[in-house]
Amino acid sequence: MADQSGVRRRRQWLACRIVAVLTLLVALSPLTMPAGISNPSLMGTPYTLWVSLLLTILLLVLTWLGSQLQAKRED
Amino acid sequence: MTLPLLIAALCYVAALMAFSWYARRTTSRDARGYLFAGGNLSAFLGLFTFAATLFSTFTLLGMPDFFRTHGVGAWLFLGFSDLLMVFGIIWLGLQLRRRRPEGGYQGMARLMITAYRRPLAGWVCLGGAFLFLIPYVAIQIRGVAIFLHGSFPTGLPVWGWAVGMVVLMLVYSETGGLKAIIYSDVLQGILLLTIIWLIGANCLGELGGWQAMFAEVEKVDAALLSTPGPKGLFTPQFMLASFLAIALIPYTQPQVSTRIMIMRSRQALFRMALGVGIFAILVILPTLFLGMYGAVHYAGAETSVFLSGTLVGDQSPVVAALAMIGLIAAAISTADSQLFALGSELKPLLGGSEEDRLRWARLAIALFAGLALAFSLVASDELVLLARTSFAGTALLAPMIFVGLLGRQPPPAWLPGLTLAALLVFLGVSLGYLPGVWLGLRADLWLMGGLSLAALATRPWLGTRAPVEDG
Repeated sequence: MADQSGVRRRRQWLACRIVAVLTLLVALSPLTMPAGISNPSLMGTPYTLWVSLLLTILLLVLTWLGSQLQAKRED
Repeated sequence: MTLPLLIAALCYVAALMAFSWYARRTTSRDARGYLFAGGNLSAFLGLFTFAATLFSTFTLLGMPDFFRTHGVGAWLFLGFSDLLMVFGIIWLGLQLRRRRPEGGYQGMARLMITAYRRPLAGWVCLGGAFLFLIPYVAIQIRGVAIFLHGSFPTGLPVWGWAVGMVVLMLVYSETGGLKAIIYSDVLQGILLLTIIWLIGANCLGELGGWQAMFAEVEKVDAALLSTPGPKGLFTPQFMLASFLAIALIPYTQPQVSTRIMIMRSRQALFRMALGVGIFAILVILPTLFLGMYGAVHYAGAETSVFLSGTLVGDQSPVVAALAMIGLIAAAISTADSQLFALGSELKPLLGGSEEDRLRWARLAIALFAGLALAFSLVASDELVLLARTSFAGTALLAPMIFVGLLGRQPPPAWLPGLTLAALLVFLGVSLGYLPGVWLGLRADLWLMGGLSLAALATRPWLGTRAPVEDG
C-alpha cells in the first residue's frame, strides 16, 4: 500500500516537472510573446501581460503541489 | 519631509543596532554561529531573509524604470523567472541539501573542493561569485546614493551617502554576524513590501485603476503593451538567457545557497520557497503600476527625474520619507548578505587555525565592502541590465556546481578550468572587449550551452549515489 502511494507520488511529481517545463516553453513561444500584438486583452490587460500572469500563477500552483509531494517523499 | 525622514531614519538605525546586539547575545561566537547563524533557520525567518536578499534596489528602482522603458514584457523577465527559480528550489533544493557535510555547511566553495578533490574548483566558485557580485553590490549602493543625492541636492555628495550606507552595513553585520543580517532582513522585507504597495496603490489610483492604466499607456506608446517593447529588448533569446540566469541564482550565488543550506528541515525549505513565490508576485506587481505611471507622466524623462518624482515628489511627506528608508533598506539587505557570503566562502579556503580563519574572513568582508564602495563611485547607472549581467556571470558556475553536487563519482578536473575560461570570456564580453552576439546568438547562451554540454560529457550519472541528508 505504502509502495503504491509512493509510486503514485513519484508519477505526480514527474507530471509536475513536465508541466513546468512546458510552461517555460510556452512562455518563450509566440503564444506568449507575439511580436507587437496586445490583443485579445482581458479586462483591459494587454495579451502578453495576462498570459504571463497566468503562467506565473500556474508555476506557483506547481510549486505548492511539488512541495506537498516532495515533503512526503522517502529518500 | 525632513522631520518624518529623520524620525524614520532614527527608528530604522536603532532597530538595526538592536538586532545586531540581540544576535550577538544569543548566537555562539564560533564560525558556525557567526557565519551560518547556527544552521537552523525557521520557514518564517527563511522567507524574509531570502526575499530581502533577493529583492533589492534592482526591484524598487530598476523594475519600475524597466516597465516604463520596455513595457509589460518586464513581468515575464522577472515575475515569471522568479517563480521558475522557486519551482527549481523544490526540484533541486533537496539535492543541494543532501550534500551538506555532517560537520555543517561551510560554503559552496568548500563543497566544490570536496566534490572535485581539487582546490581549483573552490577558487573558481569563489572567484566567479566575487567577479560578478562585487559590481552588483556596487550598483545597489550607487543606485540609492544617486537617488538620495538627487532628492537632497544640498546635502551629502553621492560618495558621502555611499560611505554612510557601507559603514552602517558593516557595523551591524560584523557585530552580530549572519543572525543579525537575518533579523534585519525580516524588518527590511516587510518595509520593502509595505512601501512599494503604498506608492504602487497611489500610482494606480492616479491613473484611474487597472483598465484605465493600460488605456492611458496606449495613448502615450502602444508598443509598451506588447513584446518586444519599444526598444526591441524582450526577444525570446533575451528571455531565455534571463530565465536561466535568474533561475540558477540559488545554486550559483553564495548568499542564496547559504540560506537554502541552513534551513531547519525540508518542510521549512518548502514553506520558505512557496512564501518567496508569493512574495515575488506581491513585490513585483506594484512596480508595474509605478512603471505605467512613469510611462504616462514621465515619458522621455531621465531615469533619476522619473524615480525621484514618482517615489518622493508625487507622494505625501510621510510616504516619501518611508520610501527613502525603504530604498536604503533594500540596498543594504542585499549588499550585506552578498558581502558576508563572500567572506563565508573564503574562510574554508584559508589555512591556519579556526580562530585565525574566522578573523581573516571578517577582515575580508570589510575589504570586499571597500572594493564595492570604490566600484560604486565609477559604475554605470543601468541598474537592471547590470544586475542581469551579474546573474548571467554567476550562472556560468551552474554546470560545474551541478556536476559536483549531483555527480555520483568524482568529476574530472578540467571542468573547473573550463568554467574559469568561460567566466573570463564573459567578463571580456561584459566589458565590451569581445562581441556580445556570436553567429546570431547571445554570447552568454553560447557559453552556458558549451559548459552544459561539457558537464553532460562528464556523465555525472554514473557511479555510486551521494549521501542522504536528514529530511
